[in-house]
Amino acid sequence: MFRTKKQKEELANDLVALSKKNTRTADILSRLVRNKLGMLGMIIIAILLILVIFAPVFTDYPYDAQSFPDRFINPCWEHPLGTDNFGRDLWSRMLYGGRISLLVSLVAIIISSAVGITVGAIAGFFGGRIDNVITRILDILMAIPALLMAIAVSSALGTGPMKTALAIAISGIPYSARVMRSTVLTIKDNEYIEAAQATGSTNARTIFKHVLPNTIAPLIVSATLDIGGNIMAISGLSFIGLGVQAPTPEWGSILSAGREFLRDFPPIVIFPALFIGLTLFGFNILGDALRDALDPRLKD
Amino acid sequence: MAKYIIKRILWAIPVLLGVLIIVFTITYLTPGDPVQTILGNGYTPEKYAKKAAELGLDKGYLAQLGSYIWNVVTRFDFGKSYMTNIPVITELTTRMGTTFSIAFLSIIVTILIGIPCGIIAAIKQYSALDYGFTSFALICSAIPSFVIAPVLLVVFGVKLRWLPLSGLDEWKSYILPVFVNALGGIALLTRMTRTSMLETIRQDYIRTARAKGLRESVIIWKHAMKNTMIPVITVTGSWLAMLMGGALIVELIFSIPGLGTYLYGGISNRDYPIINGSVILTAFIVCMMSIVVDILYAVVDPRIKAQFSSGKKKKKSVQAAKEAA
Repeated sequence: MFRTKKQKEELANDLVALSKKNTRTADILSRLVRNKLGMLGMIIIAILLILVIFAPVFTDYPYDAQSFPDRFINPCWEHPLGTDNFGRDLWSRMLYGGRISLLVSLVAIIISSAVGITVGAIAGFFGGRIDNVITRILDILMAIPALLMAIAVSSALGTGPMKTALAIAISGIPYSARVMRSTVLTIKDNEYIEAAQATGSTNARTIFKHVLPNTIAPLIVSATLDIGGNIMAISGLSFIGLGVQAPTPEWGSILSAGREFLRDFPPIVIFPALFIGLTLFGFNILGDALRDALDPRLKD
Repeated sequence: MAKYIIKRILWAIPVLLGVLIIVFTITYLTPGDPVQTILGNGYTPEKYAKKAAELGLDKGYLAQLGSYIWNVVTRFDFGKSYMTNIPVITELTTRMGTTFSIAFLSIIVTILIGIPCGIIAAIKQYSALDYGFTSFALICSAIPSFVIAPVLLVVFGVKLRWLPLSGLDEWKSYILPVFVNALGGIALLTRMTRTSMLETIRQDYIRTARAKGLRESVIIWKHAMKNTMIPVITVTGSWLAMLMGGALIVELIFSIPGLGTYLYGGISNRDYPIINGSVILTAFIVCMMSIVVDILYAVVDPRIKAQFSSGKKKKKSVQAAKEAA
């Protein structure tokens, strides 16, 4: 990529020097920086985030300004991605729509992780009957395919960005709880946990001070991979008319609305598809790189 | 082994009951009054009460749930559609085959393409083929089905006129839906098989096989394959679950009369028996598939089989030890 090998080594070394306190983090970071594909993912996500957060800087048009004479304009200097069937600027709809897509996905991740972490940590840490009951309930929830669960919940909750986030979050809880439970199970057997308990640390203290900080790494990986999956789910829900609805722009709903014009005016479908695809691609390869960085066994 | 299978099947019963309760509760909590929806505007309170009693909606939550479970478990009766008054189970049974056959064909295509691609990418690591397959897989996993499907439909259906646009009347109509479904799976399976194979061929027993002078094809297909397949089977199972869940979108795009379009109709009309029935049936199919996957798992991995036969064998060996003493 744009760095020479030497520069990269230096950057990695700097990172190591920066966080000498926590050598494992530094180790992971340096491995991450060396991963070309992972860095590409990070750059894609960074660019997308900047475009989306500072949307007003990058576009002069409001996302909902309709202009009948300007319908179906092909991409040009004035409208970088063209205009849609209402003459709305597609570029600004992409940017503002990305806000919704990414925000909903993020909120969903936060909710499902918060619940999943709590449930998973309780199951993994206490084990025994509590674990049994929780695992059985998770089994039941996982028997319903995630997208169907999201569909069922959002048909009950109704449409709108935050309701969609909640629907997606609920469908994601069993999966994040499972990740958390298995992570806690592997940590629980470590000697430092035994030491903490031997010195009279309460259960709550052991969980918060000793167990949770060590589960962060695998959780970050699964959350990164889930953001991509969530964006796909949100767009899917919007696509079937259950997620975010017009006039609020969202990549999936823009795509869905543009489907009938695909034959005569492809940009209306191609660009939202491209944005969804790029975001998924970015988060997928970043997630993979994070996993590789955290699990050096998989690397040569 | 038989014990393992029986245990696995018995465990599906509480899971499915749980699914019934959850799905019923979700639709129960959904705001909106089905009786009002059916009767439309301008009904008398008597008419309303009669309809509510007919549908059993005048009872409390537990009574409704109880009779729902009883009807489903004893008679496979998921109630009647609010809109058409046709029993949900009749529609479900006719549509199930369609959805399942598409999912099944997609899985076959996925396996036939995904696994060989993954193996080739792994044994030729860092070659042009490896990079080709891996980047293809990465790109495909970033394309949702609702993006690729309309595009393919326009290209092959509208522009080239090679394939039919909708329905499932001839064999040609299966090509696009199956391909769209398989694409993500191929991407997933290629990556999974590659990683798993790479891990396997670095193990000592593979080195031993090489040292013995075995042919490379024998090493890969006989020795490495079995261990490679363990995670691959898991992923295939979860992919099938995703396909059943994602059937709605693909069926909607290609206008296929399957479970997905039925569920979609139910959602748009707030027809709760349809929503409940389709979600529960899908969960049932997914449960059955996961049992098959678990059994396959035990067939491929003797360690899992051993876990379940160990109880008896352990007792036997303890007894034998005692007798010897």
